[in-house]
Amino acid sequence: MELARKLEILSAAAKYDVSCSSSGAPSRGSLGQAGLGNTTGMGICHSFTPDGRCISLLKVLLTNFCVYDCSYCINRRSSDVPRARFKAEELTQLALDFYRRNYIEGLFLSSGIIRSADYTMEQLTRVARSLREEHLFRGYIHLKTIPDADPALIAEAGRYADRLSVNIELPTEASITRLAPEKKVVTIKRTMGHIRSHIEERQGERRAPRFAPAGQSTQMIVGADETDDHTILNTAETLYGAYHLKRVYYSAFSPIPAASSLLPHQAPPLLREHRLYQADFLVRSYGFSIKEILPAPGNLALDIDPKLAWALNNRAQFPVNLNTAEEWLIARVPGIGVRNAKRIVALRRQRRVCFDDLIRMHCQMKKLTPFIQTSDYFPRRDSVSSEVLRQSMVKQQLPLFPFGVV
Amino acid sequence: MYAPRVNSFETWLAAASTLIAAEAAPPLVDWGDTDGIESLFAASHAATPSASTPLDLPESLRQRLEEACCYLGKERWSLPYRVLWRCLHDDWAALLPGDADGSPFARRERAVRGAAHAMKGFLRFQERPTNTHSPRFVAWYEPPHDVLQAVARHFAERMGNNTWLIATPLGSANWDGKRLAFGPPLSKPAQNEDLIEALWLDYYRSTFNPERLNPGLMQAHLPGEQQRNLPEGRLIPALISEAQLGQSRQSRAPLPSIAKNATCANGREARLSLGNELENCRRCSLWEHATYPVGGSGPINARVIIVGEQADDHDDLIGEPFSGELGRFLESLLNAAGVAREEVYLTHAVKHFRFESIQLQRRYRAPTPAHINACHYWLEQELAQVPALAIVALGRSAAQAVLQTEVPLPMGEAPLVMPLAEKRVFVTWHPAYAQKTANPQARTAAQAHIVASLRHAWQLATSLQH
Repeated sequence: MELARKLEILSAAAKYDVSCSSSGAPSRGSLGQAGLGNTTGMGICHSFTPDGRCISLLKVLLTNFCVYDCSYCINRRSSDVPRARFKAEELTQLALDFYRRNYIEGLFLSSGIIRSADYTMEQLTRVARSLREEHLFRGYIHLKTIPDADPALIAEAGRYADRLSVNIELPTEASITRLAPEKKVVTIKRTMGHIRSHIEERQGERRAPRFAPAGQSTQMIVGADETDDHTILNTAETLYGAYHLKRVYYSAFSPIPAASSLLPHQAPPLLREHRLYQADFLVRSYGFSIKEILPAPGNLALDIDPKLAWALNNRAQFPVNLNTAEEWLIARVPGIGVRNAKRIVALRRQRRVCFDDLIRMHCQMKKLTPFIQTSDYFPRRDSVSSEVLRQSMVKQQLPLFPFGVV
Repeated sequence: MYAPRVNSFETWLAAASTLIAAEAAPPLVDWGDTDGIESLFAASHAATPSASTPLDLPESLRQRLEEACCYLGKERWSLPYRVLWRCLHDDWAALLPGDADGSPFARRERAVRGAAHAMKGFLRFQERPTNTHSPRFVAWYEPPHDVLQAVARHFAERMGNNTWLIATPLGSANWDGKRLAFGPPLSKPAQNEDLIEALWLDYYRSTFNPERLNPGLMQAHLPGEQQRNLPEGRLIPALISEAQLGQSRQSRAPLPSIAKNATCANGREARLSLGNELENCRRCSLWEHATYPVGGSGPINARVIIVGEQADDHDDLIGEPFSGELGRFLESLLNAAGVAREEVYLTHAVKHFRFESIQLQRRYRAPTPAHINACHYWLEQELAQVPALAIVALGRSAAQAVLQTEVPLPMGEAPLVMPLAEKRVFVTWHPAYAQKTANPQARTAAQAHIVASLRHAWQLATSLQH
């Protein structure tokens, strides 16, 4: 098969993996040396496709032949799609050529399961090893980890990859059993546990071999089953805590050609995925807990963002006086982010914070006014009901703009 | 009135040093940059006051000024001078984003950083045939700010010893495999399509998911002028309209029957003495967020059983009891008691780790009586399978689990021994308490008590068995 055709098949097969991040790798470079590539810790987007997502890595499957039959997956055994397989040399050459032209930051390599988990993992690792050792490639490598593979193979993969990831696939065990009959939650989690242990060993011992310095991540499909956001976020919170993941990616179930009848007929709104990312971000960067964001079973509000929803449900915490409140509390005000909270605290060491300062910092003024006090601004407390505020805010919500494209 | 003319950060800094020494307040200085055009072409020979010693600035301030000076636009040099003047007169608010100068200053830094970042991402090299002269890779790019120097260093790190040239309307950078050199502006090189670019376009087309079409979001990240510079830019309109068409006739075919009995690669598992049954335990809800159920480990004919409270963070990751830091501490206590770890059977009263997620960390939570009771099913089997006559219960939960009754913790130094049929249960402190409790005397006493209990249990077990 022609290389272009293989590339077409194997990149189309990989596009349901949403992560394309190239961040978190240690600083390294190739200044004046043989070989190629650098990383700085900051990811770089090299292009954007009309779905609004960035291209940072060459994201492909090694092969889309697969012995598994996960009903949400386009590459499942019973799916009628064209199949292809890269030769390792073809793929390394392609990655290097793309890299030299500055199309990509590196490689994201995944694969269908062929023969066995161990065999597949070996094939993936071979490509990474060849890039690192034969071609002295110092760019970014993200390897998908096959859950059932031998821990020794995973240990080897971690030596070459910047990031490893194992997909949890679905938020509950029941759903995995129903939709991905050959996969088991425990093996997925155990693989994550192995990876965490390896990463921590490396942190404790400077001379230990390098192991996935950009950490591990996972992906959860949203909307392929009935699970609500409350369960999804609790699963994510547990995964973050148990395996020290860098990121949980949420992928709104994307209807695939010739889909299984076990799947819903409608894709979930991308807005739901977006709200999950927002909630996830509040937990990772703002110190919110899932209990605060979503105290009871159910879904996140679609009409307003989770931070505003929290503020409207907790009016007793407001208004926050920006000249006296602690930084973490200021960051909880709708319309003020972590960065602006820092700036406000820095500014008030010099002088009193006034209303115009917030305009200059480009805070979202319409959102924040009911929730703050400054040296020259004192809204009447609780004069407007949360329901009325909500109605007025809904009209001003920003258009869909997901976090974390890099 | 002063009218310095500068064209780079270095010349600006030299002029600013002189002006500061002359105590020239910002309103008295005309940098000739009010309309943002001459700054590009300013000649450095224009009237400047005579040179004096350059300013000795804190490095962080120098860096911020240097970055802001890369900004191309109105008041390119005046604003940094105002900020510098205020800082040197102890008005550091000039650097804060809420300040009237600090706000545009911070915006400039962001714009410059953004421009450099975009150039790192969106610049494209063309490869020239290897038989022509170097450089082998050439690129043309029009950055909105003067970021070529910073970006050239990035590409020197990136490209190894491949030779390359980047041309911009303001200047060029050339890497000959050893050194980076900056030169005059060069004209845009001719475009030539090649095989690898064609592959890249294939990739771009296939990695796009038309089901998620969101042109507005793409536009926000990749504005029109960037799209025009990229080879894939010309694919975008067609991809968008095809996706819009496709959405209206999306259909779903019925599923071909699912073949059963697929090869399930699931070999390595459960080496637990309690077998696969524990693996699938659903007696309480703790399994749901766990990695492993942690069964006991040790010889099946051990003389002493040591029962802890519950699996901890580390145990959960690998499925072994006392496998982490706490396990090492227990081992040191066992050593002090003259007992070898390999000769005792170690287990927990509760086989799964109970925790709550706080700030994305798993924090220990004590098991409730309900968890202990649910898990007693397993402990009972272990106590029946391992014929040890001495049992050491570490902590209140373990004692409760073993004895099935409320037990007081030991007072004083003497071991607390309770009967359980023909067996003897030594109730002592949990090693986590003995390791971490704040009061150093309580810590020492608890450690001594654990060691004494272990020693007595071992002596009892060996004497009974002889």
